[in-house]
Amino acid sequence: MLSAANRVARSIPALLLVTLAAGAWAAGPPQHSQTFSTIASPDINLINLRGNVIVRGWSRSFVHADYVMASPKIEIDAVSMPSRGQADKIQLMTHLLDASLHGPDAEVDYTLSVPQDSSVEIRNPEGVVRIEGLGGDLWVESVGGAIFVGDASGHVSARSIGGDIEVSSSSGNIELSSVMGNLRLLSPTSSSIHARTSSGGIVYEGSVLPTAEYVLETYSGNINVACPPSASFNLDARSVHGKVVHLLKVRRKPHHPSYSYYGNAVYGTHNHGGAVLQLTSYRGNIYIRPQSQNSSPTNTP
Amino acid sequence: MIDLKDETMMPPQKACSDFEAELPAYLEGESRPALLAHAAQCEFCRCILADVEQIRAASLDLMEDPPDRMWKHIRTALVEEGIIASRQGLWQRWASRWREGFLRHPVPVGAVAAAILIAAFFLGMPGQSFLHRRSALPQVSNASASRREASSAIDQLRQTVSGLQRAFNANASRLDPSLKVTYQRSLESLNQEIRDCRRSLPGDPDGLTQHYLASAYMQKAELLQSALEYDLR
Repeated sequence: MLSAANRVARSIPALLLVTLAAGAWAAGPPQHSQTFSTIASPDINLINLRGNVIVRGWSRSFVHADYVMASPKIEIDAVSMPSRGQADKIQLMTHLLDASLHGPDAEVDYTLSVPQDSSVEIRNPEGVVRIEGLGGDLWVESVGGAIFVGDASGHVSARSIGGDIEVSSSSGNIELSSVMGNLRLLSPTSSSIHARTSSGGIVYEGSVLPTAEYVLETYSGNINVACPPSASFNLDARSVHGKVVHLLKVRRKPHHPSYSYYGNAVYGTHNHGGAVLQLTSYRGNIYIRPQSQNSSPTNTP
Repeated sequence: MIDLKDETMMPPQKACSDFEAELPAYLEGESRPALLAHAAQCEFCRCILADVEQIRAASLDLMEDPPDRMWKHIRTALVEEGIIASRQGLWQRWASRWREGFLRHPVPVGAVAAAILIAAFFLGMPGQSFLHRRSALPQVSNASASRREASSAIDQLRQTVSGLQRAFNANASRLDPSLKVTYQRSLESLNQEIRDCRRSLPGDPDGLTQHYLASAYMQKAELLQSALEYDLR
């Protein structure tokens, strides 16, 4: 017969194993963190297959990366160049150890804190990409995921084939492209914006810089523009099969003789002109309205 | 243009690696006799040189630089096809996986880049001001001649897109199912736009329909190229 003390002693290893396993399960999916010392304006390159990516700028010359992986059969290839000292380039890539992983099993969520002057290039086919407070150039590409960029002062180039793209409070040149996604530009202070979507809509809400050029184009979606009544620009709005509705006092100009302007069009000057606002839709409607001071952003394009 | 249908092409050897290393300097205008000598002997590198020269010539004709993103796309595609080596080691595993898998159905990268550049020249890039592009082309003063050239550029784009579509169809089963759905829905959306524009083309008085048609083809080319790039498992 085993004594009570003996039974307890013998059961301790088994209990420990159960406890460790339960602890590992309760701790959730594998997580890793890495920190890299960098120059003040490094290039950050991230290639993921699926998952959410958050990148925030901070005032330190470090890149701190947190990864949450859905499976232990995933690893992160992280390379800093040069490998010693302050890196001027950091590359992160999701690598599946088991190529049969699909869907949620292949997810990796990244959260990066990077120097605020970093240039960032991200490919993330599925999942949300959110970038905030960066001063370098940004290049983001997704297939089905949404892209959000806020407070960026460098060049922003974003493409999502099926996802929506929103850029807010950004001052660098902006290029947005999508096939099915909606494009939203909120409070930009950019002097050049080019946005194109095929079946999505486009929303622009904010002021108009005096010498800026805004070119917004959709095939079947609507374009909604809301700007302050004091905004000054040359307007060239046309929808071939849709309507052009404007609630601003636009002084119409005769069309340029080389253009026949079929469809519905408004071509004129608001206030003193200056900026170029070119809006084109083939089948959708175009709405241009004054932005009231306390108006909330339009929810749907 | 390089004909990548020839699957017997040998992978790059040491001399080919030297060729790759010297190519950027040669394209910057520096004299590189060894590079030219190697290209004369190696069919693979000769094709690459011809391809890159053609892309450079097309871009010079534009009189303005194409966006950085386009060069990134071209370089990425060349690296991922294994045609050139990446300067970054991290890409090598990716590129080798690409060579193992996707070169069975290679993409005519040079053709894509050249067709898009040519179309961009005549029609403006997607998202670029159509009217401004037109006014920025004083040498194209005859409207009907311009229309014919634009039509020819669109036809070239259409052919390029057909080639990409075939490669996509051959590889679609390997895509992640949810990605495949997004690609197919987007392709259907663009196909609808293309059909609609083609129907409306005869009554297009000022080239706007032609512009939308070209934009749809360019977006379709980019989409298909993106699908082929992401097929990397």
